[in-house]
Amino acid sequence: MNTVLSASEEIITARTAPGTTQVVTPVVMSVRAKINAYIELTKPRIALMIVLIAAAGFALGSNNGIDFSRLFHALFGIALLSGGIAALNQYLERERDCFMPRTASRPLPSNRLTPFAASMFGNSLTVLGIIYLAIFVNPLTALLGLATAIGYVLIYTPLKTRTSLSTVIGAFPGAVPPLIGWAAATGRVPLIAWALFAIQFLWQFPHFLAIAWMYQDEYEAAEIRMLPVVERRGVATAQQSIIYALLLIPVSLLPTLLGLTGMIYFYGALALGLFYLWASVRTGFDSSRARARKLLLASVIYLPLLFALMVFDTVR
Amino acid sequence: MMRFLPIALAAIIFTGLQIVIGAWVKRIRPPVVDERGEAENTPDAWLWIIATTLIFILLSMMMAEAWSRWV
Repeated sequence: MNTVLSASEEIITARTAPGTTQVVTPVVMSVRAKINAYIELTKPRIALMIVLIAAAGFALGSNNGIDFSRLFHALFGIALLSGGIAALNQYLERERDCFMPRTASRPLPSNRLTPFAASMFGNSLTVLGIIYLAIFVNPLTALLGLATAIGYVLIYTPLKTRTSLSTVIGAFPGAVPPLIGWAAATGRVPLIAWALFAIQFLWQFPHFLAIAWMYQDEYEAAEIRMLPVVERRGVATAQQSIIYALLLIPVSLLPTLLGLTGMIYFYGALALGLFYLWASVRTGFDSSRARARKLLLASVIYLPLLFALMVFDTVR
Repeated sequence: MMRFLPIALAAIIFTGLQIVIGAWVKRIRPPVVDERGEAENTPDAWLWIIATTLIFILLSMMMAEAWSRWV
């Protein structure tokens, strides 16, 4: 069965200069392809990572065994929220995404969905997610979800074309998953929950700066002011990657200092931190995209391993 | 006043550390040549150093609290 987009759903994104629009021919799609496009709009792989980290936060916050019913509700609400935020982010960036080969095949720049449909979908998922968390989990979790949505969609996304410091701003909502997981389990956010937030906050810098270095030219074409775009040589990028990886080492040891985890985690976190720092230092040695890719790989190994180790070695 | 002195001192040392790392990276990293030339010490680079120092101050307060609970 084929579905033809109506004339009112004509898509107004095209490969013109950022900030300008042009009406293009609607795309004919099957229902299945359209559903796939909506799923793609939620960035499912990122949503999965967010849900897993939130689950780790929930498990770490659960003092007297895990309440699986509450865990399910929390993860479902967080998944809704994550999908909604991703959809709204793509809606806002639909024109710029046309200029980057990395993002040009997304549902909006490739004309598989209309901006109106994506906006409605994103808003609905976000609102549903917040309401779901408020009803089935607790008000604090919903409040954190709302703050994340505002921080990511209304503050971070518009700042991307204005200042390279948007990466710093975006790191705040980006670090919420373990905090929201903990809040879902306990209804509180004590110092240790903020330590988990700090770990994820710091982790993001080498990770996102590596991505920005790899796609420097694409970001520049899309007029997104990432640090490697405004400082082409990459000195500040390498400097900041190293400094954040360095800061991450003592902060990643906080769970043991605060009595949440034992010495297995302590030494494991230390080893992982040194590995991440080494990968960041290596990016200082050359300007290659291959080196930045290795740092990115190190970052995606580091975080899941660290949280898995934390859950494994919980001592209380 | 005395409470904030160690934090201010640590922030100054941390800013210095960032500058030293930046200078080291500049020395070891091969130059990137493009038609616009190099943008040395862009305002953004300095804004990042300031933002990172502010983040360091927040983190050091958290670390100090964790340390006091540990000892």
